[in-house]
Amino acid sequence: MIIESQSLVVGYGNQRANPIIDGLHFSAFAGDIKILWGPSGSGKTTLLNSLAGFIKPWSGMLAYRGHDITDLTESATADFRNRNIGMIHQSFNLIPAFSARMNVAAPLLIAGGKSKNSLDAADRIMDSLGISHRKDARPSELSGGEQQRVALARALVNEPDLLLADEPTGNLDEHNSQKILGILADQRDRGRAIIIATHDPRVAGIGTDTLVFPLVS
Amino acid sequence: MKLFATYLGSDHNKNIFGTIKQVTIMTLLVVFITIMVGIWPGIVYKETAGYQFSKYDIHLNGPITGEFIKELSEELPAGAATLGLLSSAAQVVVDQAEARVQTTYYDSQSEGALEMGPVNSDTLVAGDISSDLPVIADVYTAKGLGIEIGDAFTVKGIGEAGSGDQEYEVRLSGLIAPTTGVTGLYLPADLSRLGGSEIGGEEMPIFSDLYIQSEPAASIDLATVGQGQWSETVTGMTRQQELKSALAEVESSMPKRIRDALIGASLLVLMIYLVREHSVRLDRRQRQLAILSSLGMSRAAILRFFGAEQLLLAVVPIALGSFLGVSYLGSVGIWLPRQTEYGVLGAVVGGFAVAVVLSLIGLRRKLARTDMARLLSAE
Repeated sequence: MIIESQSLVVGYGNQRANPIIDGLHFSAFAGDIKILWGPSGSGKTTLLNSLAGFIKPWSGMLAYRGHDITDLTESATADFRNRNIGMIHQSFNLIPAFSARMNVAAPLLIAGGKSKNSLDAADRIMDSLGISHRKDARPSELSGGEQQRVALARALVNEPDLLLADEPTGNLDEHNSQKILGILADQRDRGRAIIIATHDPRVAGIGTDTLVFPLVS
Repeated sequence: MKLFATYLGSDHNKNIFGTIKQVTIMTLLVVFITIMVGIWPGIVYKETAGYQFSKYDIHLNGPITGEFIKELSEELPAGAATLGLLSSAAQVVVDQAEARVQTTYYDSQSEGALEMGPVNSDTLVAGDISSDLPVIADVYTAKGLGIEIGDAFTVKGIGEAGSGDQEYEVRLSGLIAPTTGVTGLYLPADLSRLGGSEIGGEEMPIFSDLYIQSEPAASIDLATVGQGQWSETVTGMTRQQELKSALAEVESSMPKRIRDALIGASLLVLMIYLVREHSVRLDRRQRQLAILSSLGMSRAAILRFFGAEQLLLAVVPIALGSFLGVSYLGSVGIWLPRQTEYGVLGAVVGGFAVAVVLSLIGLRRKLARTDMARLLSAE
């Protein structure tokens, strides 16, 4: 099992009233594509952010490969995220000042990787996703589909076990959406656990399991 | 390192003029601070230059040699030189056993300014300088005057202002072979203060021996104070009192409270600008920092990035601004003592350091409050 939650309660604010997620039992194995399905504002992104360590659960337990990660320090959470999680967002979230190649290499550099090794790894993953010809371009010079593939390359460059995707096709046309879905399916076949928040039926189609939001406790 | 190099100034990298503008403003601020911090000590230094010596304790613990004087001069700040350090407090003759006399050129024609020549190797080639009133001439001067050791002759002093001419009957007691290119008579302190002389109707340069002002009392091998009063110690005349009154006069022109307030205000302006600039820069890059955080960069690492960037961006303004500020003061005739230069640099660096620390504290609080997830989710 890659990730698991038990009785997970997540919400915003200090009052701890009206949780967004209340008592969730959830697990994802290698090769799973879990679809978090539901309308905007139903809590899909909140769960993703909680799994990524951006939001501390109010209560319950989160475990990664059997290790409790609920109470990690901020620094340990950042390190955990760097080593084990790849994230992609609807708005791509590329750093505008960096070239595509630097964007992809950033997680490895943050982890303390050597410059040449990190950039070589970035080149390899960009090549496998068919965007190596755009490696020197800035994000603003890339199309939406190219930006999302750069974001995917960045999410995959440190070979994480867990891939979290928040509306990965939300800003893409049909053609580019299919490309991204193809890459995600390929990553599933390589044994990664993938959790996708979406309300796009095309994305839901590649899932192995679907969690419907809002959750009913 | 690669990531940092790419990150550096990355909010401006599409517009290099943004970074240039920021560095230029910071440089101008440093120029302003340098002038504000340095101008007053510079004025005080300028107005009291003649008294600067009394700020330095000079301990004479051994034979006074040319090398000693040279070393002493090098220790003094630029501009202070030996002005006021040497005066006619005592005549010092050292190493008498080897019949050598140390001499210092005293230029009586230039309103009391002292110029030191090489003084270490004027060797007594004939005669004896242990008499009560040693009068020495270089061999060329003696030949020109037609006098030999033991001959008596009259020195007519031109005299200090208002004192009128005076005549002194002296007897040549020694000859030296000059190595400095300066020729004339070498007389004890009191006589050398005539300010100029005539011998046989001809103007004759007069040099005194080495005069050392010392505070506290100097301990030297052998000295003579005034005419023929041999002593093993010399008590230097202090001009501390004169310095104090000169300082008081200069400082009374602007109360210390106002000066301190001006310096404080200028430093405050610098810090407010820097903190504000850092804050704006941070706001501009909030999303970028959120992305770095999502990739696994810890808050501490983000703080290190931001702090290092601010420090690097401060290097050019500090170096260039301080240099321009000090140069400007110099161009209007206000040279800063070395200590003040260090003080200016310390104030500027301190101002930057405080601003960076304040910014980092603000950034730390901001990072802790920022909802990274929401920033990342925003379209």
